[in-house]
Amino acid sequence: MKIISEITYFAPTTIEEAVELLQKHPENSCLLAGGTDVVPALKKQVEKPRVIIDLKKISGRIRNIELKTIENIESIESIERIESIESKNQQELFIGTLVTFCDLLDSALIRENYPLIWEMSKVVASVGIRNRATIVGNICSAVPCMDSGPVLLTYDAKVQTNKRIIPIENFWIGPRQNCLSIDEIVLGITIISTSPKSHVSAGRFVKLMRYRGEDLAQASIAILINSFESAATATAEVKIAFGAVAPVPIRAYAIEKIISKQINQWDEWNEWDQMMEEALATIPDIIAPISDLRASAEYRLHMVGVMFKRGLKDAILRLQGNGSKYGSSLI
Amino acid sequence: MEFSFIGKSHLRVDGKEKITGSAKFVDDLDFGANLLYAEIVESPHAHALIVDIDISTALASPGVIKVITGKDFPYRFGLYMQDRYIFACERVRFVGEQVAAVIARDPVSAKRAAKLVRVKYQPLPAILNVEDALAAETTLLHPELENYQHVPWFFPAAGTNIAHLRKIRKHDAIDAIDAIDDTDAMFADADLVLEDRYTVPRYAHCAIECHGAIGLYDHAKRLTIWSASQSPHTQRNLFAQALAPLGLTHKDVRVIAPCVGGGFGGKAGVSMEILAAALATTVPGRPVKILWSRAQEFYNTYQRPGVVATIKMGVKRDGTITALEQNLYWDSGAYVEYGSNVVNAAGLSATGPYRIEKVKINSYAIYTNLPPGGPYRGFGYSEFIFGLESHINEVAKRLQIDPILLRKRNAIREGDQLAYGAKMNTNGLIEAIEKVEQEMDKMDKMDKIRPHSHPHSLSQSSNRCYGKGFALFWKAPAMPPNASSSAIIKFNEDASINILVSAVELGQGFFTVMAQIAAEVLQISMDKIRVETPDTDRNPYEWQTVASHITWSTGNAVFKAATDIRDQIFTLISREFQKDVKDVSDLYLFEESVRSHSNPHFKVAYQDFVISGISMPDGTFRGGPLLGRGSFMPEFSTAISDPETGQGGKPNVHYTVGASAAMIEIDKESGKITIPKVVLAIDCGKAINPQLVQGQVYGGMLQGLATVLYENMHFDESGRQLNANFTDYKIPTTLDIPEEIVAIIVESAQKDGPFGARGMGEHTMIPAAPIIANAVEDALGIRIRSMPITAEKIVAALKHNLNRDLGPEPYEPYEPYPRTEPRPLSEEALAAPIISGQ
Repeated sequence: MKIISEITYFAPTTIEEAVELLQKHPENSCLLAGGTDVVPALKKQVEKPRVIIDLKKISGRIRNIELKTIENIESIESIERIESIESKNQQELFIGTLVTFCDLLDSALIRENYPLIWEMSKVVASVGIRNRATIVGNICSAVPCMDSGPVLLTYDAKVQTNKRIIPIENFWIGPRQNCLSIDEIVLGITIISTSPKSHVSAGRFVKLMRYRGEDLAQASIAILINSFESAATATAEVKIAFGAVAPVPIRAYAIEKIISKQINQWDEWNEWDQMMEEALATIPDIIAPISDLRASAEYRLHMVGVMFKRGLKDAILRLQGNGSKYGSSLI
Repeated sequence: MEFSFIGKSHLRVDGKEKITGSAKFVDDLDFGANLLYAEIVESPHAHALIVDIDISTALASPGVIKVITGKDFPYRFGLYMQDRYIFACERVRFVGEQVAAVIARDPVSAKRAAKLVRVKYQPLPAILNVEDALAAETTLLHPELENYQHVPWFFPAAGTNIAHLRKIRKHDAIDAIDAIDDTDAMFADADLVLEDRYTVPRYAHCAIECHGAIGLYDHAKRLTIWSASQSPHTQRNLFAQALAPLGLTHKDVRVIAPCVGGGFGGKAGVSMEILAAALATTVPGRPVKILWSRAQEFYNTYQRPGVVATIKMGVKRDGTITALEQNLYWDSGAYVEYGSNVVNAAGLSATGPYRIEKVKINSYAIYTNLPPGGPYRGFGYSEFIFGLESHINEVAKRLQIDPILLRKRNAIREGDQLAYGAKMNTNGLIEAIEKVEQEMDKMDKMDKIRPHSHPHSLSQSSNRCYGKGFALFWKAPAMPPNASSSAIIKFNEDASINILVSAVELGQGFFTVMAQIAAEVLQISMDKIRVETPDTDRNPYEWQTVASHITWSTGNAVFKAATDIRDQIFTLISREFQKDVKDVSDLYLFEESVRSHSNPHFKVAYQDFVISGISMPDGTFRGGPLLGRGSFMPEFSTAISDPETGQGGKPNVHYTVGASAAMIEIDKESGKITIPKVVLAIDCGKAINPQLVQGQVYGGMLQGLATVLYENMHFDESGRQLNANFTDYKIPTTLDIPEEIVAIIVESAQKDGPFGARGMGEHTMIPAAPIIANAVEDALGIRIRSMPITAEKIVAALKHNLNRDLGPEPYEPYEPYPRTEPRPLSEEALAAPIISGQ
């Protein structure tokens, strides 16, 4: 299928140049990274930009996956969680704007430290798409069924642009809408966490698909458990987020509250059913699934419950070292 | 009999060509700088009158050469019934139908200009399902139906939307046939009568190569079409007929089919290729190319028609089926020039492979404002077998008889009377049933092991359950009685041969099988044989590569051509070597040479005479280039029968039969089905290449499983397809293959087939839907009567928990097909192809 609209193509080599181009063409311009969303939209004439600004010629950090230790944690704003924890040993992950899902899958650093990102990347579309598609492009397109959204929510990721740092939860404002201004370019995604030495972490990403081949999520769930061991007590936190069942990916704070109350005693499986019942009851208030040709709202609602139940159990088992392998199927 | 080449799994002769990329498909052909490109203007309406077409803006657009509309080609055409126009004339009948075309110097200019063609429509009520089409005060899609030309075995009902009604009325006591129309009398002697309704939606072929064609009309008035086609000769015939008003005759039209990237019936007959032929005549001297996009591949080629089937079956307490009444209401779409024959074929064979005393079948081809229904692997059989084989299990359950035993009791045997009165051919149905049963016994053992060893250790075992499903299938080639094949074999200097045929290699292994047949007769090694792609000027006639008749029919032609050469060789050698050999009967072929039974030392190598002739002592030569010819037509076939009963003809040359079973695992919470094992046994008469037979079983089964598990077509209330893409029309990937597929070959020779072979290509997908439906019922006690059986449908059925007590009302999770489901559009659906000209 041919692209029939007339387009001016730019390939700047620095972020500054790219910003300048955006300022020069405030309307009908479009940034290009992997192109797996932009090009089909151009072909179908869903979008008709006159100017395409390709970021792929830009070198430097936006191509990298970096992990560094942060010594001076206080200088970073609004990281209450980490401040409340008695540890000075923090680390920051940076995923640049041009990092593809295959880069993430190939990264030992990701696989070892952020297994949820790895598990999610594994089910994004197909190998061919993952070779080109970027995780930053995925969040910028802001399609409600994006795979990366729920996982990034559970990691409390931040989006770093040329202008500011945006908590991922504030990044989306509606289906296919992000909060970026006209001349704003995402440089990368950052995740700040305590180093693995001071806590144990495990999680689960589950994606509902119509078959085993590549598919867009009909619903998805990410669950992350961090367990902090200290001399006095063991503390833990659970983070849960849903995808494809609301206009944007959403955190399930109400469920987190219910689970966190009991998560420290997760050996107590006898409490499990009661906790589940309480948690499942809150789901209809959290999500707002739609009916379309991929699935009905009823099935989505039903499956979110199933995926949550199985996902949480597996996440806990993984934390204990008895769970399934990352990347295995749960439904 | 011991064969050298037959029954051996030779490597595909076209393998290297395909895997190295040297194979040329239509879009690979280079036509140089003069090539023009065409883009069509599509109807945004399912049903409307065309009031006016303004082409002026489009014509003035840069790069545009011509803009063509229906007024330029007011000719009707069609394979079995001439109900189509090249471009919509006066009226559009489905969303996406071609109304006009732009020819331009490049594809982008063509596409841009197509959006500038302004078409004014007067919308008419859109008929989107068979119920509405049959309603009393309905809108007629084809008010001129009675004027359409059609084959003599079609029965259109003027003044209705019924394009064809195939009636079958059979009573084993011939003089009692009138009793069949009295339904009460028909079921009077049954101990149990069970009635139900099954629905099957539309499906798409999804061949990996989209349709495409290039037309060139030269200044000497020769029209050449290169097309991705299963039917080059049929295309030539229809092009010549449709364009006859321009003064074209058959000899002036040439169709060349290079390598074809899959068809499954979608590239049979003529669909978009007529555009390349027609448009080329408007720009003499310059080739015009037209390629379908994936979206057009869905909504503007043939689709597999949907069907609503009502089944009523009467049985004796011992399981003997006494009577069957089936009404098949086919959603045949906007044009039925090919699709009516699907309806006809299904009507003839809707008893399934059973011996039934009293049969009443009505199979209706019904016009609707959806894309044209047409040929698709299985040709109507997959559709009625879903209902029939589901229904037989329901009958067995009520009789408390094992469903396999019930099938065995009624299984058709050689010589039994078919529904239209002719006799059933030799077949190994019972053997197939028994072999599948043996494999199912192994499944039972597996059943006991699996719950502990399964990888999904987290889905608690209480969430999982297992079911087994079994079904029989059959299918006959659906062809005109005079559908025929021919072949020419040419020898080369080194005793290699070229086989000229006009059937199409579309992945099924046809080339390899033809080479094996010629190799066997002529005793030539496989690497010395090439089989050529069709060119209607150079290769001899072939009807179409459809109906699973190619191994049988073209195989017979190749066998005859090879035998023709062999006989010429024997005649020549016995004449010129009278001193060395006795006579023709003394000769045989072995290792590319002629040998004598009586004289072990006698040997004449092919390469010493097949082109050069036999060198004589006086310096002269005898013989000449050897050329074999073979033609095959099933001379016993006739489609003429009593229109009211269907009795009297022999419309089907033979049936291929088989049995199949699946073991499935259902996750009761998610509704998801996994398939540890599938078995299929088929009687192909003789497996000329067992590995290719196996390949057909794997491929067909996978295609069939997709139609029952997740493939589905969605239309909105205006008749627009919502999922004309692979984002939302799912075809299986390698991850979706059952864990084990067992292919069992049964061989009861077809007497008139080459080495006993009969067709088996389409058949392998036919039982897929009922084996799954029956396994679901076995596992959960739930009978799902509408395809596809999605995970969502299973969960909905389980939640409602209905029909577990064999209650009379079937459970339907949704409004029964074909009512469209008015659901809010998804983002992707809104982004579906934009229709120009609104």
